[in-house]
Amino acid sequence: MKSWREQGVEVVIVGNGNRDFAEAFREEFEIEGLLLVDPDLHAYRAAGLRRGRREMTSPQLIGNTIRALRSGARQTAVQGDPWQLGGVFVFAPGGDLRFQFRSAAAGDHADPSEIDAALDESAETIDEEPDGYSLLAPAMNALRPALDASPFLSFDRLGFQRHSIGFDPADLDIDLYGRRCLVTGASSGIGYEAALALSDLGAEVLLLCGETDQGQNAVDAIREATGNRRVHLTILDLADPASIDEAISQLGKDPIDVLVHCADVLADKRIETESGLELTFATHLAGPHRLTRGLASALEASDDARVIWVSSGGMLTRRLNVEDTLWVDREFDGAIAYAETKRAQVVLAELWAETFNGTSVHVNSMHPGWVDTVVVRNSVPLLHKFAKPILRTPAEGADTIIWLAAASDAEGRTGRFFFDRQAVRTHWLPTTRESKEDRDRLWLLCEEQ
Amino acid sequence: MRSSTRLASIALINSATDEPVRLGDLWQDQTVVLIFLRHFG
Repeated sequence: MKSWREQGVEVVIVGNGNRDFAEAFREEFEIEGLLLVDPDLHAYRAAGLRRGRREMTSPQLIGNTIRALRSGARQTAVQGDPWQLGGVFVFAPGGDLRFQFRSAAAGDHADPSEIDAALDESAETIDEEPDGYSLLAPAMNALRPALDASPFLSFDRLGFQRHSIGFDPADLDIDLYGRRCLVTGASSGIGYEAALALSDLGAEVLLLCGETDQGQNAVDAIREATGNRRVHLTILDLADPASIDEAISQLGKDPIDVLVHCADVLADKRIETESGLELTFATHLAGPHRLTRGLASALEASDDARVIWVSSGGMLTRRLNVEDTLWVDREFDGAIAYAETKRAQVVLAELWAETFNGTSVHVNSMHPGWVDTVVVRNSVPLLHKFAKPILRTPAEGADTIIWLAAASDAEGRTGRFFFDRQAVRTHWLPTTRESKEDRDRLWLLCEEQ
Repeated sequence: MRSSTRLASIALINSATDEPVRLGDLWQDQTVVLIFLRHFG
């Protein structure tokens, strides 16, 4: 380092502990120059530096450790994120990147001679342009409407693989540091994957879950996987207005940038909530509506707020129903209750988009395709058994949520229904179109609860 | 977005002064070797 400084090069060290750790480290190792702290791993993430237990237990690490001990090196107590890996970058005046090294395992260091070469004035700038579209992307996107005429080879895993050829990799190459995201139903399945991905992109993420243990396990798992410590749990029972109001009072004080309505239920019998609603209606409609209403000011306080309603492809078979939504005068059918309320979520998202018109809040709905989730596994086990090979993973199902929440291409879009990152039609059949009166009635039903 | 562009916009805390330092300012006029430690220890 000394020879680099003698050449007029500034050597800057970044560590992920706090200031006390940093100054103790400076004293112990007699560090000169600038020492910066990054306890949130913001810069580590931006630099694309890896973390994770796999790298920490690799055969390469064992070899590196033995070599280090033989040379006399001894590691003191770890101060900071124990799973984080390091790296080295060289920037020329003006910001051109001349060298980049990211450790693949602990003890994996940059070659000093390569750094010396990068410091030479004649060193070349590294081309960092991200991967672009696949050459097939324009054709694949153009053909999508025709190829998506049926749910088969569209809603399934093959459909995701085909659609993803048309995705722009740069869309999610984005830093969400400073963005505050709320995800309901985040303890498992699609909601968990959405929360995980938003955390990995650097956002502060609040998991809104009904059960403390499951929710805390999800928070712990996401923190460990991403190194993001700004991941927290808020207990929320969407079937209980008092629980919703309590969550609003906790969460609504600061601006909210993303609100994902992902909690869902597929009941096998009619369950009446304490406030007299049918559980599916309460969880999919009345609860999320109350939550959105209560957090409206916090959403409007963001300069780019995005509300995402996670619906289901099953809603395409149903017309909006505003009669007997509490299932008092008809025999309960969980699958129909699910599909009807998922249709209503799409309409409600459109109505919320109109309500927020002219503000910074944009509201869309989406469907994830056919996904292997706990709800499907527990509620329709026979279907799950036979369909499993073609079901999407929860991460694939969450992809469009993450795109709507994060991508700059999604900014400003509102009142639309998305599937695999494209706005798609909300009706496949003429018989499912609802009337203006029914839309108004749905809004009133939700407002009355 | 490129790593270099992202890093340039980030401000970290100088452990000696407790003042924020915008990384992009560091390499505005000079060559910088930026070393990310695994951890302090």
